[in-house]
Amino acid sequence: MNTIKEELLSAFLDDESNEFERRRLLDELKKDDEMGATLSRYAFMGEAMRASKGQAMGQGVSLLSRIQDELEDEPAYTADNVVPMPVRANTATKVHSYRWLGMGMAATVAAVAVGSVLFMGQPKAPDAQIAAAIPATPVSTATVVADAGSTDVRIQQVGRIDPQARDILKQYVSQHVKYASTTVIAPSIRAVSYAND
Amino acid sequence: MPTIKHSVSLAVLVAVLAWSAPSMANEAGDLLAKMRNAVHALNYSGTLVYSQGNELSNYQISHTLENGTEKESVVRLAQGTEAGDENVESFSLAKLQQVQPQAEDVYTLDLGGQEFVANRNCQIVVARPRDGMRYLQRYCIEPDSGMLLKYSLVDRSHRSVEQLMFTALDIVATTSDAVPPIQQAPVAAPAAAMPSKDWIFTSLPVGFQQVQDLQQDGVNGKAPVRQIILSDGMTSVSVFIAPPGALGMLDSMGLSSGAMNIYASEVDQYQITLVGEVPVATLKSISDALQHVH
Repeated sequence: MNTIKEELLSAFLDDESNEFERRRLLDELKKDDEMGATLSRYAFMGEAMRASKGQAMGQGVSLLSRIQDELEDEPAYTADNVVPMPVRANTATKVHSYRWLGMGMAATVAAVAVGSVLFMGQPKAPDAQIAAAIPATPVSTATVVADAGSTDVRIQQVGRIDPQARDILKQYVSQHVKYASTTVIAPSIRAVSYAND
Repeated sequence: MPTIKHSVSLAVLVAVLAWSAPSMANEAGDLLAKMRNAVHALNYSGTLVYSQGNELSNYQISHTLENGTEKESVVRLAQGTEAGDENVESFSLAKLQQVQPQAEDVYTLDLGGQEFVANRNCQIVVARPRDGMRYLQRYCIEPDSGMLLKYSLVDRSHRSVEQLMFTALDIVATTSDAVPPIQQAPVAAPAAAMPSKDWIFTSLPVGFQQVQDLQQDGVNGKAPVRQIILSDGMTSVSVFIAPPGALGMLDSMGLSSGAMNIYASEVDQYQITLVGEVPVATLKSISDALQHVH
């Protein structure tokens, strides 16, 4: 393991790594098993040293509590700094639509051009049996189409909640994690605090 | 003559692909089922890295099965000096549920390549959504043991919003090769409300259906809150409906933490809050489709 990797590990374990470094660390961990083993070893060493200072091993912050902490960290609501969320993002949607329409037309023209070239090089006999052999691709029939991009932008804009709302959200997140999100793995990680209920 | 040969070759190729596609999906489904059983039945211990949004954490996990009883612990290995919270974490991958049949309507299961994770070979299985209303789920499973080594939720821009990966793992061989199916203890749920007739969804993203309707206690002695749970077979959304006069929220707001999104709005003066591991656009669609029937 080279020095750069060791520095990445060291910065992470000292809680000094930034987002870019954390992502890079994750990428490196995927490729380097020795690095993964070193990370585990360092983490255990850190735990042992903290335990020797009187802090019980394993005392950490649950992910759920960190979600709740993030809610706590949200700036307090005042009437002046609230950005109201529009009910319908008409303008953004239209601009988005025209952009996608243009890109779609360009892609279509390109596809037709490429298809024509390929078609000219193909045998002329119809390949009906080939077409029949191709499995039908299920077409998505979503009844609801939403503009994920613009909504995600809006969600970034709205970050002001009052203390009452925080309490409510905490309870909602807890109840969702406890009763609803047991069908995938990651939410069970969020549910850690409930194992001690 | 070359043209005929070309056509025949193409036909054979297409036939092979047509035959192999469902076969791979079945194999992927089988591997997911095997994984679900393995995380319950195997004795294992190791460390894993978990990333959520911009955060990265390190966990120590151990799981044993003794006389049919599962024992497990998960401890966050605190970094730096931030540790100090009283919470001692213990959860289990064994909370993982079986993929529900309706998931096949909205996800395609694929087998990917092989990876090498925690000094073990694993097979990639991808649950790819057929639309943009949910996240892609990517698993890496050790074929022999069925153990999950890596898992991630990926959004439409191919960004991993949540990910876990073992960095070290020991699996203790069990005495019996045949792993018995594990029955999971159900979560103690609050009183189930009558199926909601006063609240209806005019439409839902494909695959989502109502699976539970619960009555939750209100905050600080306030009126109870209804929790309607929707699922597409692999992921869930909770719709909380608080009556008029409940503690105040903003009319419309949203928050995000990793894969979990929150979206709030108001319908007929009721506070509507949606929480789920789906894109916020999906939450908004569900919220827009919710109607109060008088």
